[in-house]
Amino acid sequence: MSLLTVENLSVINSSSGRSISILKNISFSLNSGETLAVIGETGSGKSMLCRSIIGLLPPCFSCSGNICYTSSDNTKTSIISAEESDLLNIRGKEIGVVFQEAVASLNPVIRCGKQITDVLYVKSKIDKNKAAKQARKLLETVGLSEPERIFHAYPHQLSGGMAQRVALALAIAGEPQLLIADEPSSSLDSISKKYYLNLLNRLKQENNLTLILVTHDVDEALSFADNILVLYAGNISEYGKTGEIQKAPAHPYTKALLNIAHALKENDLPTPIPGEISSLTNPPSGCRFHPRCPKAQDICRLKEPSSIDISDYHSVRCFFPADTM
Amino acid sequence: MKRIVNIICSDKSLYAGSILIGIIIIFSLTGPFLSPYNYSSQNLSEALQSPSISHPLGTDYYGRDVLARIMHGGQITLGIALLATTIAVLIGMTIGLISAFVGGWLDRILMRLVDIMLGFPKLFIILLVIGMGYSSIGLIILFLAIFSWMEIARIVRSEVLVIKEQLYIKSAEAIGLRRRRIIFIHILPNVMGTIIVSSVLLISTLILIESSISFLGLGVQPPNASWGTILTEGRIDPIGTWWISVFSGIFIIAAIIGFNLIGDGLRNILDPKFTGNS
Repeated sequence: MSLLTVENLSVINSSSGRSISILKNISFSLNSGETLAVIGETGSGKSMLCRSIIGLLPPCFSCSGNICYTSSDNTKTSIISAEESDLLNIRGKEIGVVFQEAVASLNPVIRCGKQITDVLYVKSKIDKNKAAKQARKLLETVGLSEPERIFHAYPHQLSGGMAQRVALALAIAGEPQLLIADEPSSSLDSISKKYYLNLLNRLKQENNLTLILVTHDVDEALSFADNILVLYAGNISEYGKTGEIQKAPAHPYTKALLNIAHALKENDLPTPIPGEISSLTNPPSGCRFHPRCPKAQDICRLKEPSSIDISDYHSVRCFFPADTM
Repeated sequence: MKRIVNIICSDKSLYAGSILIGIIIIFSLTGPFLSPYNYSSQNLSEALQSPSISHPLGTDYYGRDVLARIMHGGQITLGIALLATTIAVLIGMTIGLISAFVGGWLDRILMRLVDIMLGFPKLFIILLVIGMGYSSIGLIILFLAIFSWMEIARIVRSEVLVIKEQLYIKSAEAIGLRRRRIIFIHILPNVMGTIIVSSVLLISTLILIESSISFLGLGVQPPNASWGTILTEGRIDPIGTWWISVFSGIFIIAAIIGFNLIGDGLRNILDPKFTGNS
């Protein structure tokens, strides 16, 4: 059953007088229990995608297309056109979000325990004592070894890894079906990262969570996700099942990313992708990747490629997709 | 209670300020019950006595005990300053919050109102109205409050504008908390430190303004007395009857220093990253 369907989502920022296209024609769907990894460089629109899914774009951004979310009681909500009061019920209770900088996402003047208790109290409508008890349990669930100490600690007294876990506890406090993790591990060292990903995996299985994992670590995406969505400068370059993409990447950008990830794993020096990510304010004509693409032809400069289905679960936006057969 | 004592002891200036203000408050509140003299009963046969054992701070022109008057004056002066500050903080906080949250034209209008109010010569206006003969303690409190909420409003507005954009507010929104809850539970406590510090500092400013008005004879009217009123009674012969002005002046200075010390101390304490004597 499809939990989240995004169709032709475009996000435009019109704050500085002219409109800048942040996301263009994004379409994907996510089934209950699946994990989707969104990978891409900084500035490719990953975080904006997360924010549009919970309907929390800043006021100067306008959204078009359709984001359809199916709640646990089978009602469908269109996030873009929904009333604020409906969104309040979806946020936290249906969709939880963990942000990149965990320490900054916790209120500095409220003790961690109280922040979680408060969410439980508001969202689950239980009395404060019960909520506090459940908050302690949640802190244990996210693998904190001293829940009692963390419960009474202020966020600045925690290490980055601990704060990330508290932020996770906060996000799953409302027992959401869908968890969006926006680069949750990018500020952690490699060991805490591994623990954190294991924890996410465990929570996913225990609570039957559906997960959107935003990351720029290709290896993490490959080992973790059922589906992968590669974003480049606000466009989907490639979208499909992890296995298919790993075996046969069709887009030159995906291929380059996989090569780098492979080289890093083998302790080789990776071949960098030449050039810089194209700017959103002044995007190149045609395919946005063409200035950096080794296979670029004239047509890439002139026309934007449309989405080509390679198989049922694999599509790519490129005029010259790699031979997958 | 023990926690409050611990917090007070962790900062030197807060400690000193609290003790100073504590003594002044206890002195003003309990003094009148312990003193054998009434602050307003005249005894002309004992007029203008210099400090002695029976009148530790001397007597004034009407033979009233200066110590008893200062104790009573403390209640009036501190009462006016505290009440006016409370009203000013409430007005300032409300206007600052509305300004930051509603934004747009309302924000512009409110902030221009703040500019206009700040540009008003407030002492002049207060003197004008009170000089026309409408003097009462209630009016003084109201005037002081009306002319001192602007700094608080500005501080609250600018702090809220910054905090509103912080990631933890975004994450509170992402959890699906209502706006009212975000404002009062997540934003206001972050501004509270600054509000408390500036309101404590405002108390000392208002003590000074009230004393100046009373010194000019336009503030607190007899039979009531504030420290400013007592101060002015020594004006006729400042050298010959030095004790009247000097002792009331010392109390004004001590109260202002005390509140400023508390303000400074709270500024350190209320920073959540503050961890003791560092």
